[in-house]
Amino acid sequence: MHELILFAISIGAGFLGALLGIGGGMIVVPVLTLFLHVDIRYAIGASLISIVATSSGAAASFLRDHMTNLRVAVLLEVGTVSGAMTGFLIASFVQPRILFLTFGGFLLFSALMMLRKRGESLARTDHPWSQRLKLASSFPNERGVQVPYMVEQVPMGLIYMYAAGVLSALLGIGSGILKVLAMDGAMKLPMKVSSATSNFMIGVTATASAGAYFVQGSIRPEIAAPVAVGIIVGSYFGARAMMKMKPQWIRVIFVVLLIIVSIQMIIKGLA
Amino acid sequence: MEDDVYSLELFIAKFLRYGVLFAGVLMFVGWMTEISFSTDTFAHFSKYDEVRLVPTLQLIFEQKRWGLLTSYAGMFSLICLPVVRVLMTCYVFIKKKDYSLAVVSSFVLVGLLLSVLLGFEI
Repeated sequence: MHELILFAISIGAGFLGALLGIGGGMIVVPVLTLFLHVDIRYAIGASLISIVATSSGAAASFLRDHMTNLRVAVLLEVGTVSGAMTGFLIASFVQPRILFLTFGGFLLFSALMMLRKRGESLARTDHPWSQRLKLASSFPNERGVQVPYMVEQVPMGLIYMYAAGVLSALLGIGSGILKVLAMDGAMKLPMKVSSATSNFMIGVTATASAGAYFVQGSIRPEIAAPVAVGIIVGSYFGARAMMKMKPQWIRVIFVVLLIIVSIQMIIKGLA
Repeated sequence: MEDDVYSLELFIAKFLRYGVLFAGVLMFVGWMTEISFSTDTFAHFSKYDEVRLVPTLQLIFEQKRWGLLTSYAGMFSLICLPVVRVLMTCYVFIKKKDYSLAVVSSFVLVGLLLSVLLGFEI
């Protein structure tokens, strides 16, 4: 019976995740731990599997959107994969209560980040690494005109990505918020390009730790299967609904929920 | 050459889409098979039990729990998808004679494989 409840919640998580551009992990991990009393390490494993599923599906459409910068994605994956390996190592030694506290703190941070207005400030210079690897590119605007852009502060972007990888492995999340911060905040990529490139990369980041958790035995199909299938179904409908719905008010409700859940996670970590 | 690369990228996109579908179906079928004879599944998972993948698979194979094995196959396929994607991306860059990015993507590939090895060790 609990599996069906989890399946239904995962459909909702996938739907909301696709609608708001966040991963389902931020919803699934608290539900599994706070309401279904599953150990946080199993919850993290199940969440990572669902992230791999949704991100691989999203990556498939990268050819259609022409927004994803494949070259930037590949370079930054070096940072996220090495971060994920570090995160897995840390997770193997820390107490679950530290995981609850970190998760609660990250949820609060994410809630604040979702409220901020993202102002676009494009790169004015092309970093030498960007010139060497030809990272500068162009993207189509609303009228279909190609807009060229350059890439700044590539090493800073890699540092952000390393942190994103650590958090992804430690907490079972996609860390999309940090990835977007790195790309449009530090590297000054256009917002649409950074969102698309972040979605494209999340699967590889999650796989780096999911593979390790899988062979370690922390990913159990009894939990991961209903979560992953539910999130695949939910995100399919969420992506379709996104075209028709204006998610501003849903975002506000979600931020309030996120703050409440983050406080509960922190309380559980302190208990 | 550009056409070859484009069709390869198209192939990667199709591979990922059908791969997710295939893995999702395996997990769904495995889960549905198992759900019929499991009662309160989550009670077993309130405490973390350090049992590794290989002994777990051996046990469920002996118990002939084909549903669980099918779900494991689904999860394994899913984890393989991004690894194969990185491998193919590496091949695309080699085809484009873009050797710097080919080296970078092979670093990513090695990182992914090393992380799996970490799971065996820790």
